Amino acid sequence: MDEALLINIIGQLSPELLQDNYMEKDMKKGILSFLGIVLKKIIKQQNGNSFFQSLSNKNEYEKSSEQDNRESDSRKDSIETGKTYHNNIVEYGNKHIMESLKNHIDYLNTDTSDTSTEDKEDYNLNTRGLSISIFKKNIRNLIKVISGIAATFVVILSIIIILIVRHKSGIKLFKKRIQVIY
Amino acid sequence: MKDEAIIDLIYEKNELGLSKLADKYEKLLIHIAKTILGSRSRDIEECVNDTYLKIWNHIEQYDMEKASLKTYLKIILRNTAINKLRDLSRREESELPDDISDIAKYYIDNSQNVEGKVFSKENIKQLSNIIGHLKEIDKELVIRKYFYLQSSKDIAKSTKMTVTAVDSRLSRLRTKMKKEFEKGIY
Repeated sequence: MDEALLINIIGQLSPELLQDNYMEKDMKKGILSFLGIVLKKIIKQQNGNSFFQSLSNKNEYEKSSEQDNRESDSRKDSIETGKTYHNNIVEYGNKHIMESLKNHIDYLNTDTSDTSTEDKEDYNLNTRGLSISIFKKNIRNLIKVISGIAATFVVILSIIIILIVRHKSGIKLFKKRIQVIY
Repeated sequence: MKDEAIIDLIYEKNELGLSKLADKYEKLLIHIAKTILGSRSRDIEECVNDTYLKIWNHIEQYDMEKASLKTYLKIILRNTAINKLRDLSRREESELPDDISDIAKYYIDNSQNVEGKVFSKENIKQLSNIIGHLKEIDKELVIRKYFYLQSSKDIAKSTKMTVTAVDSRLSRLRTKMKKEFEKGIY
């Protein structure tokens, strides 16, 4: 079947046949991967390896160099303008990342599917989302710690059991020796 | 806002309905238009606005029982975007964007060959039945490729297949569909 013909004819198919969610899925995948990238950037920034962090390190370096070298005024001026420019970039970058993150979270919450079509316009991330996410993070950490302790406990217990089973006769002999000595 | 409320507002010719419609579906419509037209932002914008205008003017033709508002919007937008591609094929000197899919390029080159062909309602019904009887994954491939004009690369990414697998499967499907269409099965 000719592809161009198929493209023409497929546009006239009955709407029942075209009730798919392929593009919505693609969109959500795209948004999730974008969110992942943004979150990675934020985490990196917090760890001190990001572009912005390196820029702020540079800023600190510039500050110290400014204190050491106050010989020429022109140089000082250039550093200061560079510093303000850089601060603007850092500020803009942080703001931009947070804004795009907010927008995408908002979009994910205002789902386009037919099942959840109610208004969610009043949803405010600043009042609800952030505090809850921090709380969730704490719970997650707590669960991790508890499960880690439990796993360690199980491992230690199983090692003890194995040792006891293997050296059962040895322990019995040791007991007898103690009895004899006694 | 629920679809029913939006439709009611548009029925009453209340512009709030249109703005609510845009709030709810604009991102999806832009995404679909971008898939078909590439990064031609002006055409994408025109396409989305034409879709709103069409739904505004012909809301009485919308049948809620047949399909959702979203499906109708997608069909209107897709057909508007295809018309735009046809216009591009007429304007020979116009440059195509790099990110336009291969199938869209193919359509631009070959749409004039099939332009005059008229399909009867029976033919369309027959093809609907053929596509309706395909396996779910095959149906997805056909719809993605020939309805949304997605590139094989994007389809492969979404369906977790290789590009060659997508192309060969689509080729086999076309042959199968042609045979069934000619034999008059369904």
